[in-house]
Amino acid sequence: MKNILTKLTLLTTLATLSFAGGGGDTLRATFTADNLEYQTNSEKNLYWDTYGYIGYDLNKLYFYSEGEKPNSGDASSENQLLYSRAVAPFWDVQAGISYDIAGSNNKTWGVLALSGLAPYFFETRAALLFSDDGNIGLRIDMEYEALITQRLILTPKFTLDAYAKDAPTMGYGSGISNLTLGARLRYEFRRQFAPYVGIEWAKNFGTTNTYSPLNEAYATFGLRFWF
Amino acid sequence: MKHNKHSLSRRTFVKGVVASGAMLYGINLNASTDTVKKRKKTEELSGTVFNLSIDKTLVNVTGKPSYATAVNAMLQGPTLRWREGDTITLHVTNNLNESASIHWHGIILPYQMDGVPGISYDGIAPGETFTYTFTVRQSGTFWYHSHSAFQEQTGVYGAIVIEPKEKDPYEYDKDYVVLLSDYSDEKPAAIYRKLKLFPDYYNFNRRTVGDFFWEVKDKGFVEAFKARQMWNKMRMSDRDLSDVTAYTYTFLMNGQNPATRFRALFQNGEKVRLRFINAAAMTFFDVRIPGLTMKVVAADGNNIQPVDVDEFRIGVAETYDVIVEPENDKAYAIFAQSIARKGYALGNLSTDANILAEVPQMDPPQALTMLDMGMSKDMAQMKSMDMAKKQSMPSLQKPIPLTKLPIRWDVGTTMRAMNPQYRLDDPGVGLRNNGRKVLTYADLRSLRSTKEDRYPDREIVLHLTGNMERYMWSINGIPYHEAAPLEFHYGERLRITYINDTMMNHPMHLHGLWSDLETGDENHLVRKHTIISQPGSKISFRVTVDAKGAWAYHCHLLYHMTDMFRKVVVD
Repeated sequence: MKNILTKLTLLTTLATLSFAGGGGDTLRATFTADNLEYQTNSEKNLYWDTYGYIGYDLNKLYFYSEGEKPNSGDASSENQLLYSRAVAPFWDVQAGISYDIAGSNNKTWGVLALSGLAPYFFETRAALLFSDDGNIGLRIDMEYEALITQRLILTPKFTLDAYAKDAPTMGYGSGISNLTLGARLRYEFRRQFAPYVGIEWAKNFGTTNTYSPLNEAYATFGLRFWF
Repeated sequence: MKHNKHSLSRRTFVKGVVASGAMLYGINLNASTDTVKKRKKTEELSGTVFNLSIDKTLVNVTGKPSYATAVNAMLQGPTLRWREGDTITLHVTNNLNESASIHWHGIILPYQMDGVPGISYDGIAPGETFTYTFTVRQSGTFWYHSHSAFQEQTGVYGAIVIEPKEKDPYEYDKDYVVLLSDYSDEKPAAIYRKLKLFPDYYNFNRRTVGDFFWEVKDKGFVEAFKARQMWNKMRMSDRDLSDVTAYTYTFLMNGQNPATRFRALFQNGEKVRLRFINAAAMTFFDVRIPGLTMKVVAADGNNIQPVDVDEFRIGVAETYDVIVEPENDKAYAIFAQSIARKGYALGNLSTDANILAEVPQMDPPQALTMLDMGMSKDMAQMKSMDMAKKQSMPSLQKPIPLTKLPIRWDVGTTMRAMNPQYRLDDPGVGLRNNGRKVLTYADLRSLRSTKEDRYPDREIVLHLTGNMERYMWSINGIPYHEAAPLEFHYGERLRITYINDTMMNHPMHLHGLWSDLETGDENHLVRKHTIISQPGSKISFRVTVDAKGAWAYHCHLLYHMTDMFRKVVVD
């Protein structure tokens, strides 16, 4: 997969690039697994948070996949496919669909998102979700990278989910449904390859907490990589 | 002085070792359908007819074999020695399986001979030979390089030395080319892709949490926080000095890495002329020869009034000639540290090739200041305190009409210099107040008088722009592929002013026409082909538009060049 992507990008780069008449905005494809980790919580989750894109400086096709697979039980995930358009120096507007899976149930949303780098270097992504049953969802992610050394990097992360209506089959309810605060410490052996350890605290609120009570802190062990 | 012994950091050492044997690393020469040549020693060629070929060439620069694109299988390519007044013919054969080209950098010639694919000609197709022919109307130190894709990064470059028709005004006994370059085993397209995905990829001098606490300890929390605030709000890094660093580059002097070391010899009592050429793809070098004063006698091939300096910064594509008078039986290091201070090119000047000078320590990297962000002078001085000197500023006799050009401030631009200043006497980040006499543009005065040169008819202002977060570069916020050509009028005298709205130094190169830099001395404008525009600054030069045709005009940093580029049409 990595080889195919790299070769594809290199081929298109070489094919389209010549200084006088070409331009440097070449097609590229990339994949990032921000988190691929084992969580020492009660469910013993395998958790992933990944994204990738194919595209140019201003126009890209993005996918995002985030989810977890408990040691015993079904996987649940949120998967988005979006057209992403750069609208400001640090910001992209994204539109597309999200396909959420919770065990044998699923739900499709329309998505409108804002993604980019906020002042003070906060990587930020806020997605509004709209479903045909009139539900509206909001998912906010914020992340910061603090360099302990040039290769040892601490990443605090904040995640908040909220919904307008209950969706019992999917396990989330109206109001603020979940808050997750974490911090992961990774070591970049190479830029593209960094194992890490982390701690995280996750709590469900309101109806969501009734569906599945959650309030726990746990350690995580994982890998960040991209190519 | 040490004999055959020197201390190198592990990195430099590892990257400097020349291992042998391609087979060891599994490169099978027969596996490819391309013709592959083996690296040859760089030669000097002179005369009026030259046969050059561009070949896929097996080299070993870092201890690992890799493929270079080299001229006559030499990395660096052959040094060409011409004579002013001669008509030169160069047959260039492309043995690569992709289009290639050679551009004669700084040489004034008909545009069809300039060698820029898509502007001056179609390039040289695989297997074909293109014949360049032109009469040489200048003398001095120049160079040549590919203008196709990223071939310059992989080795298509070499030096040109043109002997003057009339006697050289300066005396010297020995004459050496000192060509600096940066070589990577990574494919250039892979480097470019990484910069697009992660612009900080090669920067291992980023700010750490510890740096902040040192600042807090130094000046208190409030001051430290305030100092960071501006950068944090703008989402910019003051440690961003060089996009590509020694993390992937090995720095070469005349094709030699720091371990094998280029060795220039002199005999006792001799004066030595060193012709420095920065043929790197992306690297600015700060050059000094500890223990020697360098008399700078030429800039970009043109004679200047001599200036004695301890050190000079050489931007990508610039050339400086210096004359040094080494002491009897001593060895000197020719030390060219990269602007990011993570590596260096190294040479040796001695009476005996086996006597090696001690390698100097690299300076610590310095951070950019508010001044480099183009803040107002007062604010900048409050913040940095290192620019108390007077600003040399061109004095204009009378106003010059301004021709407005299209400009766009949008996704592709993250910064605007609020109050850009002429900073000709600013040696630039990393060289300020270092206790050495460092050459600045304010020191450059042409040897010829420019008193009679025409006053400019009109002026254009070009903003050098970019978005570092997305690794996008442009001029006036417009990338090359969306820009209309710049129109210059044959016979006019033009004034061009750069405003650098980025945090990088950009070496700007106008093909085919001389750039007469305004250094503050109206009577001795120095003639250059490449002008460094410092971050957040302003700089002006004049151009006599005396050559018809289509010319390239661009930033000479290879990975900026794709978009910080304009076609110039002279009609």
